[in-house]
Amino acid sequence: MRRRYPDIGKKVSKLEQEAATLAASGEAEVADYHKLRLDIAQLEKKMMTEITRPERVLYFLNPGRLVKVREDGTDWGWGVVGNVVKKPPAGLGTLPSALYSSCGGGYIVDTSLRCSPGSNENRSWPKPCPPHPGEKGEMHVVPVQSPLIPALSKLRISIPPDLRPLEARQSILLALQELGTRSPQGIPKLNPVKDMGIEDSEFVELVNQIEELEQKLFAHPLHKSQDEHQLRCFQRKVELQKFRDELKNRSRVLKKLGHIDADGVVQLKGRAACFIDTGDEHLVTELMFNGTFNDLYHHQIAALASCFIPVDKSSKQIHLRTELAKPLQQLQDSARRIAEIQHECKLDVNVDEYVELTVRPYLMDVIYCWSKGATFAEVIQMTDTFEGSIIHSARRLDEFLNQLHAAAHAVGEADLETKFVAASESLQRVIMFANSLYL
Amino acid sequence: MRGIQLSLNQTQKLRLQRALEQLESLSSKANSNASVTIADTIPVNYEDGVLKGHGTSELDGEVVATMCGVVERVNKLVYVRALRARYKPEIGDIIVGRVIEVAPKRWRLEINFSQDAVLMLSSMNLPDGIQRRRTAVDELNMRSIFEENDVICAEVRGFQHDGSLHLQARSQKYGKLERGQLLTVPPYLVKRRKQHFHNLEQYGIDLILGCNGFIWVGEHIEAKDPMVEDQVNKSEQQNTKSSKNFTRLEEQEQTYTPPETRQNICRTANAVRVLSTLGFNITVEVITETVELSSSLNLDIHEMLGSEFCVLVAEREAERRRLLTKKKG
Repeated sequence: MRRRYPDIGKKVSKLEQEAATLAASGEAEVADYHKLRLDIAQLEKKMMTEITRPERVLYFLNPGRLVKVREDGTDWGWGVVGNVVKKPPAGLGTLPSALYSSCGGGYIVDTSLRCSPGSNENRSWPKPCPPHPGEKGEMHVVPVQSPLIPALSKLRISIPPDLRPLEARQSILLALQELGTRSPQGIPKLNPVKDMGIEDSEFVELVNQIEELEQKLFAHPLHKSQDEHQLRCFQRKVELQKFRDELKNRSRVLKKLGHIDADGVVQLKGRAACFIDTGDEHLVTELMFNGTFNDLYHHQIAALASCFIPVDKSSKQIHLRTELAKPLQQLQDSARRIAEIQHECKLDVNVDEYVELTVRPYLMDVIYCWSKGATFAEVIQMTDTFEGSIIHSARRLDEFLNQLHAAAHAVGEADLETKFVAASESLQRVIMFANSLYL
Repeated sequence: MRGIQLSLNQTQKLRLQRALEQLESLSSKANSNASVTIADTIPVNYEDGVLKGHGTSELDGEVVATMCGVVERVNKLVYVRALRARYKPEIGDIIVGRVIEVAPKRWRLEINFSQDAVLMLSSMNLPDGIQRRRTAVDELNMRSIFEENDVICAEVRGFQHDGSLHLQARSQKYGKLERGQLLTVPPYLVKRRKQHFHNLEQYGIDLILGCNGFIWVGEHIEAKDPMVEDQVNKSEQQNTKSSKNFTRLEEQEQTYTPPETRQNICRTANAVRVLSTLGFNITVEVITETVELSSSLNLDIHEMLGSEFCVLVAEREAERRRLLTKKKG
């Protein structure tokens, strides 16, 4: 990160120039409008989770119903429901965890949506996107997950049974456009309280809040002009400000830890930290400069260094020997201290999460025994991680120890260098470092 | 007053001595306890682990200095920083050097270090700006890029196994330096800063403080955008085929440095020489102050190297330091 510091400085000045050229007229209004939109989006999200509960929504997702689709900031507008399928519960690890938690037993709605015409020609990466303003769109049937539907409409249209021919889809598009022009206030939405019959008091409160905010939004002068360009400029300004703040906070962390001095010139500690990129450089440099590695002999060093290598969580209980427990405790204390410093400098970091993420002692015992000379058979008995993962981690550990050796050389501590070299050599035996595992 | 080779008369000697004593007394007291010579024991708390860094060694269970210098401590690391040492290169340093040899696929530069630095052909932008593999034709045309005795600005990319430096000059701000003066100062007078390239707009000159002690003072040249240059070159190439004689004269006119800029260059160079004789740290602020002092006194450029100006600069620096400590205290 240190090396990137001067480059980031240049990036910031470039972005600042951009910001200066962005039209700043009517900024307060734009800020207001932007905030309204953000608030509405947040409240709608809450409402979405309530509405899209299977027991409520299925009743209304009949073919031909108009639904609004919004995905993470891309507003698709209105589409027509074709079919609803229940999503089979996926196995562990095949879905990214965020998706899995949000649709445990969710539904997929095949919706006809207006897409940009060119986007579906490229078969190899068929990611449809909404048409650009002014572009004539085509209707395509897109599978949409139920959490992405923020609103349902009162209206239903009759759709032709076979949606494959282009004319059938175009007729749906025409019908949608017709409905759009007929209702100048926007297509009437299914009111969750009156039509769907949800009577939760909290929910009613939520709905009222959203209605209020939406009225404010429509009455806002900017809504009529719909100046996308201005809004986009404002969004970029907000992003730029966030970027600048993050830069300031990160350099404050570096100054506090002593990697750079008050003028921003890289110090000896920073130079040593530059050599390390396999593990968390802040933590490792703190350990080295606090003398934690001094009292350990090389087997312990190898075991301690293995905490920085990312491994899958092992569910087995970790029984550590006494000689490993103390260094691990020191490691966790340092990690906590660094997380606290980062938190003080207003970086978005959760202290406990940080300690858990950076300190991974699942392979400590394994590496310790391997370094001392145990056989591979003995070592794999000690944990339930896959053998391939153990070998992979051991190789990464070797690379990490080489980087530590380079850092110790930059600092000038000869004893430490020999320790790291000894640790690295004690690991390189037999099967873990065989050139090819197929021979 | 060590090593100041100036012919000073009696009053000047006294004034200089007084100014230097004032500066010494104003310097921070904390460091005076931390200076060590070779074989001094460094006071260290042995219960905590201690990391022995550069310039230290373990002898009979004690941490002993192997260099003369000042002891620095960072967390548990103890090391000795020498005050007047040979240049010690770090990755990312800005360096000014002179080409002494054109070798196959590389240039060798002299940089005031124990070994010569190497600038590979692949670490240098080609004149046409395109990113491509260097062919044999490029190798044969190396001389058209840099020749012997050219002055070059580059950045340290790394170290070779024998300790000599690898340089790279892949940005617009690096490359051949023309129309200026190269000065040599002791390398410990140039401290590492955020910026080593300075543009003194009021004089129209560029100042490059190389970390190795080579300082370049030259006429200000706009860093050209390579894309723009490509287009300009292409249109120029189409026009110059018929008018070769004219362009040579035009070029000479374009590259003619106005006498005022030349005077400014000489003035700045002399300011640097004076500072280096006195042993003051060389930074842009001090240089500009010295130049302003000389122009305010209406001194001729060659008079700046005289003893009177030297003493004046020392007195001025002592005064400035005194005011600074007054503000702080």
